Amino acid sequence: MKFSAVYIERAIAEHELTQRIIARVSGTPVIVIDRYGEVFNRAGQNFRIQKRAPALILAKKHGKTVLPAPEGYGFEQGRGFYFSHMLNCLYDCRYCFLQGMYRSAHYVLFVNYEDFMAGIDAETLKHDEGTVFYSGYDCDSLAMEPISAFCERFIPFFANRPASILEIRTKSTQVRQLLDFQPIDNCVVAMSFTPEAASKRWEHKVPTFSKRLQAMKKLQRAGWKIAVRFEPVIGEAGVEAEYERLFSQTFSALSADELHSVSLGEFRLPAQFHKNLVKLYPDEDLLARETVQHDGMLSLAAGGEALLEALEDRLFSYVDRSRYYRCA
Amino acid sequence: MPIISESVLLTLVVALPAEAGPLKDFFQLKPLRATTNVFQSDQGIRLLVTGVGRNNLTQSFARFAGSEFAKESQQVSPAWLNMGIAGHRELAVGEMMVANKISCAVSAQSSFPTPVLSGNHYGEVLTVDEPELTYPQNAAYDMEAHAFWDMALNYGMLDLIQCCKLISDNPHDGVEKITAALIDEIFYAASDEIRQHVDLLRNLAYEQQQLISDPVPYLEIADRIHLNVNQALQVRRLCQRFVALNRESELEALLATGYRSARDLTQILRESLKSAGKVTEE
Repeated sequence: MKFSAVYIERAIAEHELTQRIIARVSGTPVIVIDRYGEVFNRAGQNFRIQKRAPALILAKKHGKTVLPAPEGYGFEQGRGFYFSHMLNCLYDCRYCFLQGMYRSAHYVLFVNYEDFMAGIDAETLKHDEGTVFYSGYDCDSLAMEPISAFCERFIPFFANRPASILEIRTKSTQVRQLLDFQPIDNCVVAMSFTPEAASKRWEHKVPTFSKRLQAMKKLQRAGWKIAVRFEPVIGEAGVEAEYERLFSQTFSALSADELHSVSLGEFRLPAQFHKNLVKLYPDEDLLARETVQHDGMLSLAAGGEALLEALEDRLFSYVDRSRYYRCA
Repeated sequence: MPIISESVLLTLVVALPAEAGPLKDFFQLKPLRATTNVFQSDQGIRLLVTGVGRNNLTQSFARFAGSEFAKESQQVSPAWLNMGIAGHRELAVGEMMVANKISCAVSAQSSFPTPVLSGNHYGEVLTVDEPELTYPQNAAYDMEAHAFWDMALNYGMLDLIQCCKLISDNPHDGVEKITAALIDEIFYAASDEIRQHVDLLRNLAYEQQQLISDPVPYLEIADRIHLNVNQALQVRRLCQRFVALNRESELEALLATGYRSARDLTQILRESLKSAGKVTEE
């Protein structure tokens, strides 16, 4: 894993995880800064230029570390929260809202995991009905495991808190760390898939479909709870047949009966983010397509409810409805 | 490598005529009319020679920005590169250092150029008002970089404002040994690295310029009919969408059928995109 530079906030320069990461990226220029805002998301920065050679920023997360998850974000099992120990992603998916959210493509890793853990404990104590904590909302939680040690730290933490569920959203094949642990019941690894053609076209730097499927298979065989997220659905001619193939390949490799959950969710993002994406990629055909706007969210005109229903019909021939939810 | 448009510039900024000499030679830079300290090539490279120190640099930028030539020019310079000599406690004379932090000794403010350039050495450039003879910090000491950063921000793209220093003095070879001949020598020795940085920044600047340039069909429309600001933005994006969707021939056909007004045209283009956007399964 190469970074063009590593920026370190002075306040966490001596943090144990910072020191470990510095040792792993020897040879990379290290620059001490006061606050990550000095180098991340400054006015005038350009996501597309920075994505060519992103830097790693090690910072301290201040304020609230755990936030309520948007409604419909996950499979209902209790009160949902998300936490972002990292901002931005190793991958470069053309549809990703992060490009529209930040002007900067550098990766910000908040190393004060202890504060995230305290935030998780605080929310757990407040809610008797059980809690679900989603990781991977603003990043890919597994992709940078050798650097971030996210699973290494959070799996043992959740192992001691069986009433709380951790869902890890990812497109990564970095499952070695998970396989080194005994599976825990309250952790779900959720892999996102799109049809192979869409993945090749828009999911730059993402491991191939077959490699991701293999990684999921290994996890399932080892006893980990796994989930499949067929997101984002991008409606276009022939897409139903592509999904049929995707479902068939997925469920011939994975045991559908043992899946934690399966979801479908269409390509949608806030209108302002779409506008920002268009500025970055005015020549991208996905962003030039006809859209519809509802409550400030944009989605493609092609597809919509009819397509999702058609895909659900096909999906239910592989998966029991009880394991399914539609991502809002 | 893409063909670089002449309308997209990279501006090199140096303090000394001795630093300018080799660069004029590398990039075939010729004096710009009515100026004595600005040089330009027909390959999209400009050189501004500012004189030593923050004040001289600031005044040079202001003079150039206010010049008749700059006002008339259609050229833009998203990329700015400050080259120049600097002293360093540890690096050998002749080594090049890419700045990843630019600080001002007087104000104690720091800025952080985006790590776009690759090199053998990276580090802080510390801008001082008098030559530094004892090199107390592990930094490259110069006299302009911080002012350069502040000024270039007014004209360039933040990620394409960069600074590289060539080491001219250190504790073993002091400032008293710096001569025009030495500067010439270290610039020529670093010519490959300088060219690499210049090429990279020019390419990035060109790519960015391409993204904001008007699609050809839009330019043709704007030539034919009057568009107010709002209409221009709408028609421009509609044309851009036709191009991105690989439907340029359809756009040409629509334009050939004629339209009564800008509003009429916008409607036609929008309807066409809308009808094609509703894809149904066969």
